[in-house]
Amino acid sequence: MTLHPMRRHHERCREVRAQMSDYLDGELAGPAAAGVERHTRWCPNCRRMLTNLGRTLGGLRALRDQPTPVDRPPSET
Amino acid sequence: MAHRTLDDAGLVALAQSGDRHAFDQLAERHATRLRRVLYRITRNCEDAYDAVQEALMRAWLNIGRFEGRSQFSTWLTRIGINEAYRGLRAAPEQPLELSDGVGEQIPAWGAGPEEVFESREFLQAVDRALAELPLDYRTAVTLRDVEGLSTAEAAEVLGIGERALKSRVHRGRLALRARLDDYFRETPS
Repeated sequence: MTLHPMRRHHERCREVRAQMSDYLDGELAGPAAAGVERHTRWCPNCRRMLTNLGRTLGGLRALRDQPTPVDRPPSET
Repeated sequence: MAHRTLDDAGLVALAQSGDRHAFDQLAERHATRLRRVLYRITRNCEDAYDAVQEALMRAWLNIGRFEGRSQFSTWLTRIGINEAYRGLRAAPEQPLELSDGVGEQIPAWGAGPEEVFESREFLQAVDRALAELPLDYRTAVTLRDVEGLSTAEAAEVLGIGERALKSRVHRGRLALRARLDDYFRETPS
């Protein structure tokens, strides 16, 4: 039985979203990475998801350099 | 002996022979980073300080069992997280509710310049969202993304496989992305 085109599209969205972390970490092999890029070129929702996931990851990495309340030992606070 | 010039492996070897100063040097080298990790997990200064003290004591008592198969910092972080979890596990853990969002409209995050995503306000929103993640996801994302451990190192710290670690990190990131949608809905650019 042939999948309805919209259902097939959503299946592909699901596959691509499951690969987004590996893609952003540079841990996705060439053909799979190319597949993510191809899909996100024409799927606006997955493109926004990937863009915002990348910005989230950038924010998390930037937290490393942000001060925390425990940067000094208790005796120095 | 100039302990400061020794690498971790050299200090561990001395500590294993009973050299307390060598262990103190290891503690001095790694305590700040461990405190920051445990603070991001517990979100409580006192709990973080206590967990670090307890972890250092346990590390000293068990240094003879450290076989050097991982970095000393990885081993110490694992002990510290176990100590932090000891207090946190008493509270019931909330499951991570996460829709895959397929078929839904994924919102754009405003029309502002990319600098918005380096701003103090955005980073504070990311930190708040991280604090609200369920414990296991918060810990995995903190180790992998905030602290920059590799997948293998973070999996080693948590005593889980790399696939499980990747899954936690991915789901944690997706949940953060969804929570930040709310931030941008409430903060129009």
